[in-house]
Amino acid sequence: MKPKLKILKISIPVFILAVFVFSADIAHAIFGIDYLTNWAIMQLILGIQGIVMSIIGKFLTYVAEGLAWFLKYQSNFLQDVAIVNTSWAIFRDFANMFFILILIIIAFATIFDWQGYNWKGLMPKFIFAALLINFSLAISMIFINISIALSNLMLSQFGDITANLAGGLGITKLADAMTKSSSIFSTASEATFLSTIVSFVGIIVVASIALMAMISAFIFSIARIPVLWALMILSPLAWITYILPSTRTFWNDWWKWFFGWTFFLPIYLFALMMGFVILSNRPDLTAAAKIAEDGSGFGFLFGFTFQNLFYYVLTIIILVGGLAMSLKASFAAGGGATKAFSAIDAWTKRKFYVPAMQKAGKEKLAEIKDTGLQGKYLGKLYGGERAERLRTARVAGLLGKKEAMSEAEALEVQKSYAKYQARNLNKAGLDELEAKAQQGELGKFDKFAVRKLRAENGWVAPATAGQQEMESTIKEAGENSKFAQDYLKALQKSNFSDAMASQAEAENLAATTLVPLKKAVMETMVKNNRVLTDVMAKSILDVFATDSKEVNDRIKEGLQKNIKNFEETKKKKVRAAYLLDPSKDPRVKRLLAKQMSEDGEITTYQKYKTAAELFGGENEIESRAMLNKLIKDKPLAYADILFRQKLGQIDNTSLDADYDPLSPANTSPQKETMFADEIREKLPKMGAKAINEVDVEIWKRPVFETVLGKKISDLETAQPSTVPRPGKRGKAGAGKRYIQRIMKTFETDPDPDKEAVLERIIRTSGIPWP
Amino acid sequence: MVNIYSPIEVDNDTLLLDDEKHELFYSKISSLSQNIQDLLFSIDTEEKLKNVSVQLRLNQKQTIELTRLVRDIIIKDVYLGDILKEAQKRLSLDETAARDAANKIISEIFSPALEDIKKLHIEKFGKKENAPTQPTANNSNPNNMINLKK
Repeated sequence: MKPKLKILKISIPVFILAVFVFSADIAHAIFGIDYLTNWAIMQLILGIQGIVMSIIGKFLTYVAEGLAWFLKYQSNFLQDVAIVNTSWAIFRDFANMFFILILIIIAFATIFDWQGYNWKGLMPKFIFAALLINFSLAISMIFINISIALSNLMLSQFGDITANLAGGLGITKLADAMTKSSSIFSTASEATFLSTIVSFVGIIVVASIALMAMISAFIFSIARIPVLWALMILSPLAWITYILPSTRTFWNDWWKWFFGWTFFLPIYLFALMMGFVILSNRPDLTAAAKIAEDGSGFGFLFGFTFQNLFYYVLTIIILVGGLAMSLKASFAAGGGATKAFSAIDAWTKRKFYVPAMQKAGKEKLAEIKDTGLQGKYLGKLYGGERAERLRTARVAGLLGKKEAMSEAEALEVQKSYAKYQARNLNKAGLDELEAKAQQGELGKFDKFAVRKLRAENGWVAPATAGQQEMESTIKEAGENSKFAQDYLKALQKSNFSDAMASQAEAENLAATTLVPLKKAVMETMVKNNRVLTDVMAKSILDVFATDSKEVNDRIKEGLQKNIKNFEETKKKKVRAAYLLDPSKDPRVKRLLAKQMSEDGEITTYQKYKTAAELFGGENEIESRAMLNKLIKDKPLAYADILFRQKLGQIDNTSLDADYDPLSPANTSPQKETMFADEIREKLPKMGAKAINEVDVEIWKRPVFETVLGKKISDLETAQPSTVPRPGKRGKAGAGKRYIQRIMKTFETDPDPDKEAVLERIIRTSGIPWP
Repeated sequence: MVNIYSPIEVDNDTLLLDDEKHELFYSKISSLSQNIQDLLFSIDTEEKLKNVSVQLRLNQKQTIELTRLVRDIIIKDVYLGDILKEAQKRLSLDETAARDAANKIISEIFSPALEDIKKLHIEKFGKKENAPTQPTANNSNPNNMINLKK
């Protein structure tokens, strides 16, 4: 609007008012209006005012009565309304159809991993909505009933609502004021003319506003009913829209509207009630009105006192402001309701482990994505990324990388292994999983992982069952596969524990036809000194014959340590016989020779020669090491060797291990002298223990007996023993002491043949004995 | 079975396993006078040791130590003047009991060759001033000294 036109529109009525208000005298003077005319005009104005006010008053009363009646009986329009029940049912059924659609959306979202729409985000809401949609009407009615109860509570404060609604708010006082002002203004004075105009305008304005406020409240109250009906009918749709994020605004809006319309009335009634309480309990308002009637005092202005004016303004504020505030507050509460729902939603989720379930679900989903579905048939349905990896490995295998499949499968097993390992299962738990595996309830890699765990912990079943478990695992994985190697290492790590609890079980297991398993078992037996027969030792040597030198050496070293456990070679004397037995396996004899050499059991030329031949000749490292040890620790054995070597220079057959040059058939004085010279040279340096350690074959040689006897005699001659006398023991001479010390060694290492020799020496030496 | 009352045989179990020690022992014996050697090989010595063991109520271990002590003093491995100290230490006896044991050893066991033993000890160990004394039960030696000259 153009500024000038605007100014005109305002200024003209102001001018007219000003004329009538401020320029009565002037107007009177200008227009020559006399007091009679004033009275006529006033009466006209009052008359018009009266008509208008009576119309307004009537309407006000009707509206107030209507509103009061409506407020009283509003619950009848909200409870058990047939059309609402019927329509709600229709919408509920319609909404239920959407659940299927929403499930499909969730499924697709889960597959394609749409954040916010997948199952982990929506399932709780879906279930929540699915359950409560059938109670949406009842839930709405709960809130409506609360609203009705609150409204009735407010209404009960009013008493006679119709009278108090109009009277308590001072609307009747308006009418009174109107009447009084007209009577006040009946005196023909300039001041009353002025005040009549003012009061006419003011009263019309206030009354109109009051009427509009009441009409608005009435209309809102009436309109509330169909709105609430509509919201209740649409409530199933609101619950449906709660599920999906994109439709959730409708849900929020529905609650905002529902709360707004439901609770606006009690809040409005509360505002009215507060106004009623304030206005109906102010005695000074009446006094103020009286002052106005007296028309005295400064407060009288334009026919109203200022307090009266304030009274009416307050009434307007309560009427208009109360309606606006109640609408605003109730709709704000609706918004708060949705926030409350969100808080309840979050609390419920936490309380019922929803975040935990979501996390677990996420992990499970990741697992399914990686390894596919579990089970024999489900696994074929969806193999996950694992199936793809295996396909890739298969192709790589076809293209030349032979170990690709083996490595890929080993990797898959390792993944399953890590999963089971994290569970920290005990034997019972793994037994249970093994049972499932045997029934085909576990996939291949899970089965292998379980078996590997059992192997590591030594929980493979004992006896035949365990053997079957191991054999089937290796066969299924492939004898030469990487997993089979891992599995065998795991078995070896626990020394096959339960599967090889007894020696019989160990030997049975070692008889398996699966070569990798056989080798693993045998290695373990060797490592744990469980090889107890030369037959087993032979079998072990056969199995490892084609392995690398490193492996072979390790096996031989282990068997060598085992050799004194063999039934056939447990005792010292038996070992010597075994060594010299040509029917025994040379590989085993070689190990025995090595051990005997280390233990100082090579004590004759025959044993030395046999051992040297087993080592590959006297020039071999082992042979030379053996000889060095003999020189240091076994002087008479060395003497025997030297004797034979010297003899060998004369007669080559003397070097033969089985040839005995000093046997009755072969001996000669020359040979005996040669041998005697050798032992005579060594004997002085030999103590009793060393003498005892001389091989019994040498002891049995007459030459040895002679030389030893001579030594003892010489000693005794140098320091003879004294013969015991009465009351005195004999003092042992040097020879006797020598015999005493040799005899002492027989206590720990008895040998009847040696003792017999010594006894003969004692008898022939003449030494007093004991 | 080892004869624990025989100073010669008491350690046969260990001596006979060690050629060198055995010979050394006998060389020590051979260096002694016949009188003292007889003490070692005398069955009477064994009887006396048995009696002393019974009188002093010694257990087997203490008896063995008693025999060893006697042997070691005879072959001059232990100084005669240290007999009280050694008796206390080896036999795990209090001073009174050790004094009693030492008295008996000297008066009963060494008596046949006591002078020879003293002489040999002086030769080997020389005079020792303020050495532990020959313990006497009746305090006949107020200065509490073994007089090796006597």
